[in-house]
Amino acid sequence: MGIKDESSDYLRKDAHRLPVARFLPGVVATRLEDLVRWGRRNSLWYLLYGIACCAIELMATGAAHYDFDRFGMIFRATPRQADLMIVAGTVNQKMADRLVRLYQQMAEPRWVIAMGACASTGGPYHGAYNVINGVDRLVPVDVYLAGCPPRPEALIDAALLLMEKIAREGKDAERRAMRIE
Amino acid sequence: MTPAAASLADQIKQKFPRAWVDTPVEGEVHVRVDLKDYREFSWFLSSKDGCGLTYLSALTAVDFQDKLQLVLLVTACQDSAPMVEARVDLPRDDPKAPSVTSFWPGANWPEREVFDLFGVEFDGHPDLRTILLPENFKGYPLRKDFEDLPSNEPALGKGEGSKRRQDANR
Repeated sequence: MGIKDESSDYLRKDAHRLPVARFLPGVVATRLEDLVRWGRRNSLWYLLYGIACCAIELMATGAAHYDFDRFGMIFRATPRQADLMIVAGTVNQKMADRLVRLYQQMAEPRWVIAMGACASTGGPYHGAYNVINGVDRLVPVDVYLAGCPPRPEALIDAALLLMEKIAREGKDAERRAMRIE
Repeated sequence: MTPAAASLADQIKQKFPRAWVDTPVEGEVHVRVDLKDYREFSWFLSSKDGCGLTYLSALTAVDFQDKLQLVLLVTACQDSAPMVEARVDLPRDDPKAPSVTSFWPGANWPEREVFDLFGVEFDGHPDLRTILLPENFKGYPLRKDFEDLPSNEPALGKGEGSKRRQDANR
């Protein structure tokens, strides 16, 4: 439309880049907050949490063809080393306690992707006697991913969305503060 | 060597006169056993001295609202072995049955599952705890009169659950 929307500045797809200013050859300057966000969003180590058929797609995404590693996303087998929990499957009542405990064991900042219909809403098992109707009843969810199961491309899209979210983390508050001053 | 379906049906008829025996399909024997005969019948099917049907293919239950019914599918790992479908009626209030884990060790987890979902207690089971549901789950979800909590909220260690299930896990 010709009018540039400022709010979409940080929603660009090159959110993985660190905003820098170049003064001299070989010297760049940036802000500490930007550096921290840049580091966080480019090394989203995820917890191996495949609990149903979505895990097959998660594995395919992590394997050579789709190669999750190129986004800096490496699986961790322990919550203590993980930044991101990809809940890939149906969560039932018995798993609910374990899921919350694993989430609490992750160091902050931590993010959650609800992968697939089951983790988002309960999916085809919605309302069943032993199924949690969406993992957001247990832990805060950052990205909901549709599909039953979602393809690896969809999971990569969700990861990129999360990266954008991390890239603009705290920026709204900054903007507001600047306008008041 | 396991007996053929027809001769197996005759043997069961002779040995257990109270049982209802039928051979509707070739290679299959359908039996309804009295609860009093259940243990002896299981021994007869499984042991080498009896029929030698050592493979318990399935053990589950059905709720008929006026009664519960255990269903067993038993065969052996040979092409010629017949498939026996045995059904045992249980009273719906306080259902109890002898465990068949001593005859088919593979009955261990299926019996725990039936305990979990139908509330059938198995006497002589080595490890009768919940297997699929959390310990504090209330009710037996595969019974027809089971009513779920309307909210279906995660229990997360709260709630008391049924007394029987708690006793089993103690």
